[in-house]
Amino acid sequence: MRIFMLEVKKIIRTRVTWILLLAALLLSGLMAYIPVTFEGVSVQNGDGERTEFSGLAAVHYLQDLRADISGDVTAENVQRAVREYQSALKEYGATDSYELPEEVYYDRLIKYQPFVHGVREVFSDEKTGMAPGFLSLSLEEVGTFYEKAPVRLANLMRMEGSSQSDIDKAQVMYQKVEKPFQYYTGVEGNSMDYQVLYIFLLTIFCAVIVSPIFSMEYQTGSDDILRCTKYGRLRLAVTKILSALCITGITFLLCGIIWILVTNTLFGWESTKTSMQMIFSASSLPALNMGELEWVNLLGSFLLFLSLMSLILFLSARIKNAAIALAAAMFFCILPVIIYIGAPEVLSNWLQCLLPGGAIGLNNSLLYAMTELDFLHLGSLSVWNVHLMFIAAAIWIPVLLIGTAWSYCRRSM
Amino acid sequence: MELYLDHISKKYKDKVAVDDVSLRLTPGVWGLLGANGAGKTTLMRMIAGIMRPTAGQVKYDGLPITELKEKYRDRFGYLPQDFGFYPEFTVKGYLYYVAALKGLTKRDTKRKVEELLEQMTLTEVRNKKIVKLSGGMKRRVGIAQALLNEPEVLVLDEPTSGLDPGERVRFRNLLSEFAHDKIVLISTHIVSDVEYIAMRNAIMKDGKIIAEGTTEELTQMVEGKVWSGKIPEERLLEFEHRLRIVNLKNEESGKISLRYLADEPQISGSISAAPRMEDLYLWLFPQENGGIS
Repeated sequence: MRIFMLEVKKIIRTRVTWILLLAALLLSGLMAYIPVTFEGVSVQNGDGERTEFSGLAAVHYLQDLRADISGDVTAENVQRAVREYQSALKEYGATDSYELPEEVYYDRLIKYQPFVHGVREVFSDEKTGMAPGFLSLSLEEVGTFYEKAPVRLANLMRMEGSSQSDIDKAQVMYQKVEKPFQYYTGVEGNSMDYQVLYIFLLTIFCAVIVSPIFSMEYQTGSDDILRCTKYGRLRLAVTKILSALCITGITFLLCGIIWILVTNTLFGWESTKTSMQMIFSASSLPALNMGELEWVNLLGSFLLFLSLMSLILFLSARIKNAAIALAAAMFFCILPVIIYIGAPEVLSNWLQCLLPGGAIGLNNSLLYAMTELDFLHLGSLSVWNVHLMFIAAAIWIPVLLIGTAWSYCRRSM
Repeated sequence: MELYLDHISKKYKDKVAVDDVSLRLTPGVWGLLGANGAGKTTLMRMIAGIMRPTAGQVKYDGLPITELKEKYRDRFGYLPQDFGFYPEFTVKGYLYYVAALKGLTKRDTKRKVEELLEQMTLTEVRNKKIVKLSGGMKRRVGIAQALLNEPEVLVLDEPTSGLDPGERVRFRNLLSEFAHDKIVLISTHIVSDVEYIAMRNAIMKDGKIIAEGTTEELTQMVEGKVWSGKIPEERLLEFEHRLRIVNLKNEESGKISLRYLADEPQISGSISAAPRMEDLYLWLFPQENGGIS
């Protein structure tokens, strides 16, 4: 324990470490607050003048505006929302809401905007996948929203070339999604995008902290002395691994938790009850509300994060130059992002699942994978991408950490 | 107590760094002399257990150190040639860290660190970062860490490099005190360091131990080969080409006094001089003269 505490002290006292830890902590508040600044609404008051609300004022205004329809997203509420849209569109001779004057949108439609989310998706053409216009939707048809949603899921997967067994698995998962969906104004997709970005930044910060753990000892030659001491071999290797993972792990979780607390406090805790299907695709498989999604994204990413940190520790134990170890760490942080953009879809899906930290990044993130319907096949076995990511990470962590300790103990022998 | 190097060799792809070395080290200070590239550092790294011999074994009290592992390291202290440390460490922080790795209790750590800081005259810089210390001070921190666990086997690779003459004298005295009932092996090419304190010496050349013995025994190898004579100043260049000069000194009236090595006297009027370790060193390593002091 004493060696562990001294090792922790040694890492934390390094200037780069505490600067990065401080930056990570400050960013937690900032990254939670930035999405608030995207909120804005224009309101007409009694004497016909318009007032612009932005930030938290806009959030609070919308929460008040939608107070009577918050909660269960019933088929009736969806019908009511579509009716309002159709009425406004007909009145102004428009075919879509973006053709309407801005004030019409704010005065008549913004209240119902979340409730039409997913309607056009669910009623899209079975063969082409094209979303219908609001005017072509019949209110009677809209009333079957929840019956139609699983059909749409199957059609969508069929269009994407999924096998029947994948569709069946997806249907089983989708059945567990609570219906009717829930909606409360507050946490939206922007916040989740920022959670993804923040997780990526935290990972990079921690990679910088972890990369010199072993390589700096090699570079300075100090390991020659350390490995001659009584506890300088396996025990030191294990202590270094544990201390690095503790510091970065606690930082990751602490900052992630602060982000969640600040975000939900700003946007309102009630909004965490919103079904993720109301914010992302209506066909999303996880049975999670936004609050649960924030936690699953954080804790799931934490597992992936640990696998990436394990890889970086392994590289550090293999590379005798701290700068090269840092470059290698950065490479493996950014590689999944590049692969996701540049590689063919099947390959990028595999690598996203199998690479340590493959689903930490931007578009390749765990969050977006949870909104996708991708299954990967190995022979007759098919697994939802997200499950495979967790399985791969759980295998990588012990393998890489044992490899790290072994590499350190065997070095220069 | 005995450390036995049992026919150890270290071969690389195209070079034999240590070639079938056998040496029985008993308590006392041992000097390991040799030119650069003779294999001293490789030999010491194998004794330290941070390099595995290609052949042979290092045995402590009859047991291979690869089997003793922690038990051997618990009794071992090592200062490598290049003393490396984590750049953010303060002197005290570093010594506490190494003490923990050496298994010292908290109380012993405090006592021993204070004692060594005092002995190494590092008390005033205890809270300074090592990276900001002078070369000599860094070396003293290196020596202090090696002594923390009061090792039974102490291996010091070039411990006095970077130390000023006063520091070297203090170091020698400290080591003489410490070496009682302990095996201390010092590698150096500063011959005077081991000449004063080494009980026995081993001389390495091209990966082999070519001689071993007390200073008196070893210097006998150059008995009758050390001469001293005087030459006129203007003939110095000529003699520098012809002779292995150990040292030279300007005398009055344009004469230069030379101490040189040769089978027979080469300057008329030369007288035989009592051999010293540096004479032996230059006799064995004619290319090396930078380390004499």
